Amino acid sequence: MKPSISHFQGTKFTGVLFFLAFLAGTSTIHFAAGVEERDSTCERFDWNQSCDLSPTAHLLVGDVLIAGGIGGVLAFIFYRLEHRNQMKIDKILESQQALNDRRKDYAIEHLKSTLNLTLFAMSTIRGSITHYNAARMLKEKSDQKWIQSTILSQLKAQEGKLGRILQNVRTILTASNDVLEPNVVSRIWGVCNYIIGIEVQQKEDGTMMYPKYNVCILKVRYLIQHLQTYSPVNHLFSENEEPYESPLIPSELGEVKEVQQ
Amino acid sequence: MGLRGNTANQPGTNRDYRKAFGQFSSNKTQRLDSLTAHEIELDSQEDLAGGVHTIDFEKGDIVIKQSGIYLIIACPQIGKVRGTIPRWIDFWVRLNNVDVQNSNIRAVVMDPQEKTVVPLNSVLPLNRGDTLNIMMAVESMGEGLGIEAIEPDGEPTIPSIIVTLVQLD
Repeated sequence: MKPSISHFQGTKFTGVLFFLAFLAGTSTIHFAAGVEERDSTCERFDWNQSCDLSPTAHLLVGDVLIAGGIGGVLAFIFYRLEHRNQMKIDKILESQQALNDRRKDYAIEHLKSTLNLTLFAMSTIRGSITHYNAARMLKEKSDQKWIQSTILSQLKAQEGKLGRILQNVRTILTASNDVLEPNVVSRIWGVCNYIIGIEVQQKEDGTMMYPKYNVCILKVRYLIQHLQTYSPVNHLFSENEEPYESPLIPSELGEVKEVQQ
Repeated sequence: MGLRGNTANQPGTNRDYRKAFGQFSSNKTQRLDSLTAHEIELDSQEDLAGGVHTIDFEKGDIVIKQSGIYLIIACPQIGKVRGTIPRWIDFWVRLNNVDVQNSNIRAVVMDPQEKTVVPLNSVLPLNRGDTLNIMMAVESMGEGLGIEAIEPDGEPTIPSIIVTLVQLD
């Protein structure tokens, strides 16, 4: 903001200078005309070889010429100054827009990678659950207990990691909510809320399960697909989102078979 | 995207729809044994004769595949097993694990002979990937209050709930 204030002060100083010049110029002319001796045969507005301008005519002509001239010059100067100001403002706005675009590009890229990381974290949790459930088939109880307790501690760590990743996503949203579209922010925020509300549960038979894992995966995949429609050229999301696709929700049978193996 | 001609009646041709829609139902009786809110499970989706389903589902979760404004109609078939004291049963919509405002409805069941269908409807803006659940809560447990699938002789099965979603825009 400093340059614009000094610029304003400069304009003000120029204005005052011109006003003083105008005042001095007109006064001098009027005073000079007033003291000058004039032929009594000349009328008030006569102006020829034998008749000088009368003080009244001096006043009128002086005002019209000098004030008009100075006014014109001032108008031109102020127009130029305003134009320069406008150009500077436009430049500032352009640089601000470019900065916002860069922030948006960065936020989208970061969101994409973090959501991919979310997918990975969820799949590792599910993998640990599969191993935990598979450990129940072991004949050696001591081995079973050791493996299950190890996997349980791993699960805790992985859940914590997933929570931190989701928190990271939320932080990006908070930091970039002024450049991202509101519907994108609310959509990602909703998915984060959905995933964070789901916890690994233990069934009555002692096996562990990740409730709504497939739906969580699907939601994150849809989000990533949507983020992939973002164009860094025009900094907009494409509206042509793939509407339908082959179902991504795998059968629960796959999971059961995996556990049985 | 877009309506690509009416090829619906030609065998072996996939149908393509511009607007999403879906009908889901459950052939499973679901009675509550707790006073907490319960997600109603769905187990079947309408047959599209080779077309692509425009809305997915997994158990109780209806997953939206295309963003838009949707009309949701859910019709649970309610009933109870025992008791003659009037008991209420509530149904509402939950979106992304958050209850939807002003979507709750209540029905009162007097005795086990009473079988009623209560329509629940709502219009919601939904995004791709949103999950929708129909929720249920009852006044008392132990009376078998819930939704019932009925198998009458010589008629199709009456599902415990039918849910219809239609994209409006």
